[in-house]
Amino acid sequence: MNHHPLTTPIALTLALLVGLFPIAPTPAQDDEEGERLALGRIAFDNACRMCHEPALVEQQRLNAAQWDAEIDKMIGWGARVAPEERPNLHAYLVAAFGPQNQPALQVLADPIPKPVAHHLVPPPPTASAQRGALLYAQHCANCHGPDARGGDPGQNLVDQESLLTPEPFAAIVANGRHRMPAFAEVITASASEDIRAWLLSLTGEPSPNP
Amino acid sequence: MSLRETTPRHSLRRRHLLRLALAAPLASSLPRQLTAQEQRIRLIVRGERPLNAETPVSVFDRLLTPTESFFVRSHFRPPAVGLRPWVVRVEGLVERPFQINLKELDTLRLEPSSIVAVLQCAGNGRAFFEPVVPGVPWRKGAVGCAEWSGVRLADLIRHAGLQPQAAHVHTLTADIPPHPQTPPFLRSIPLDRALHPSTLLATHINGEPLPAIHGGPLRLIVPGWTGNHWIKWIRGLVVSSEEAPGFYQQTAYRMPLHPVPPGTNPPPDQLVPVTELNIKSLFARPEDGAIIASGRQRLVGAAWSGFTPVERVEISINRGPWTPAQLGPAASPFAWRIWQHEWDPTPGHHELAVRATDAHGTTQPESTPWNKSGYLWNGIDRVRVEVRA
Ligand code: HEC
Ligand code: HEC
Repeated sequence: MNHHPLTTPIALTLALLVGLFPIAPTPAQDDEEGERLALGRIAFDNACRMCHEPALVEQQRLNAAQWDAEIDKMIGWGARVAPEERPNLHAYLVAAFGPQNQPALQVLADPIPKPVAHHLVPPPPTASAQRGALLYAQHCANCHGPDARGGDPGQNLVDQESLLTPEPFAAIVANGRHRMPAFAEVITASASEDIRAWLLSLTGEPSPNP
Repeated sequence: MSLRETTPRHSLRRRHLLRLALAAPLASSLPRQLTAQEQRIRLIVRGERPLNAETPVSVFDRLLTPTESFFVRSHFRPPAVGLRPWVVRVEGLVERPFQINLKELDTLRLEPSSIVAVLQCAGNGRAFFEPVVPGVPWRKGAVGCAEWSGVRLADLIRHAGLQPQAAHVHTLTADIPPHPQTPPFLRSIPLDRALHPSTLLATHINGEPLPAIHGGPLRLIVPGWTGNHWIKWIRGLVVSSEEAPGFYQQTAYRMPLHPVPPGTNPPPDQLVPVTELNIKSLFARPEDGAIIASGRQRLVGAAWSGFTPVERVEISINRGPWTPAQLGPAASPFAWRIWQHEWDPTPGHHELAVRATDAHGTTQPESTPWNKSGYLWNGIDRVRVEVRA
């Protein structure tokens, strides 16, 4: 199955451009301001795209105080924003997605998928969850957490669509993304299947009821 | 319509669709120019991953919103479904806690139940609030009406037997927060609402098995209440004497008891949970900004409310007097009603408005009192059209 959960569940088509869409910083007369916004976009890609892809953020129209509060909320929820990148990030969010923002209309290129259950391509019989557990503890646990429920900086990997197929799981492990480093030198395709086998053995128990 | 009658026919159709979907992988289809027709039925994206997407209003001209056009609301990434048997636990303040594999639900011999009901996100229309509020900027389409089938929540809970202190039912879900610091989507509903005969645990939508993206294999259906109660991917029900703790029950989905000046937020003791849907109506046709040929037009749309039925729908042309539209049948107390109105326009620019009134005489306002999270927008829907000779 070629359903690539890591790119996006559904191909998106930009159907109509309504007004201005300042997704990239506009060329500022002021170079310093331009650089600040460019650094802000990098901080955004690194700190704000781990848990949700950008459309949710790019369609907001918030003022400076609201963006400040939103950054605080997200840091509280597990976003990692270094103190030195925060001013750039904030400036970028206000400039690009402030009250004047007129987001483009995006529509789904395809109807909503209707599968009732996801389709798993299991790791080959040669893959070993036991080896995977060791590899995971060595290379992944410090970011994604020892139980793979998320850590710093890395999100939950348990019961995710990204585990369903060898690719693109192996690709993200090999190439990395944003703050996730590339492991191509360290983790072979078969080791990646070991790790996937271990991650698939973890179950997302219901959220604990305090 | 019962579960049993509709399942076989639709599941064949579903298998066919699934095959098509597998043959033509979605993500690899090339971006291309959409036809005007396709643009009208394609969902409008508010967030790609997790997916948040709203239905184009043109679909709101019929009783049942097709499943493939139904809006999608996701807080976290959806769980992978189907990796292992779906087991549901019923526990807490019950006499006989149990767990059951969903495949064996039949063995409990609970009576199948179906209901046609409106599902609307509490934040539908959030984008219309001024000053602007943060959150998914839904406009008109985070709403739909479908036939939901499954079993009554009351029957499942009573199977376990309630203890006297039981007062709330907490819903445990399979979607995992992205980070340990992100609050889980833990919510609860009061026991009387859980025991209400309209409250279901649904396995089917419009006669087809509930797709994973809509909360399959098991979703809570709470007709008349906002979508934040219609919990997706149910894995556990915990009966408790208290409301659920945590952000999504105690902080989110609350709004001022009395209207407040825009931009202000009253103290927590003056906030109440968002529950019942308010009276609302929308145009399906014509669409805002449409250019239409002159001649007789049929204006069409949908109107709905919570527990107080819709009593009338009225149309105003160019801010003129409100005149009654024709209301279609009520398929259930919680279904929306399709309305229509004949209009003989003169060429030129026109503004059309629709408003609904419920049986208590509550009418849609010009705009909804501002609240910090942008809940329950039900301002009068206005569309502007140009009629060409
Ligand atoms: C650890 C995961 C995580 C990271 C990292 C993260 N977010 Fe979020 N964010 C969430 C979740 C979860 C939601 C949505 C919750 C919902 O829909 O209920 C959300 C929602 C939002 C919203 C919608 C408004 C709201 O509060 O619900 C905005 C805007 C937003 N995030 C901005 C950001 C920005 C800016 C960053 C980077 C500084 C960021 N997020 C990083 C988890 C994260
Ligand atoms: C330095 C921290 C770090 C380490 C070490 C790390 N990751 Fe990640 N990983 C991340 C971050 C951050 C992301 C989110 C990237 C983004 O999209 O912004 C991520 C994303 C992922 C994803 C994509 C999940 C999804 O559903 O989108 C997978 C899969 C993944 N990591 C697996 C691994 C594996 C396997 C290892 C060990 C071989 C590993 N990671 C090691 C930080 C890390």
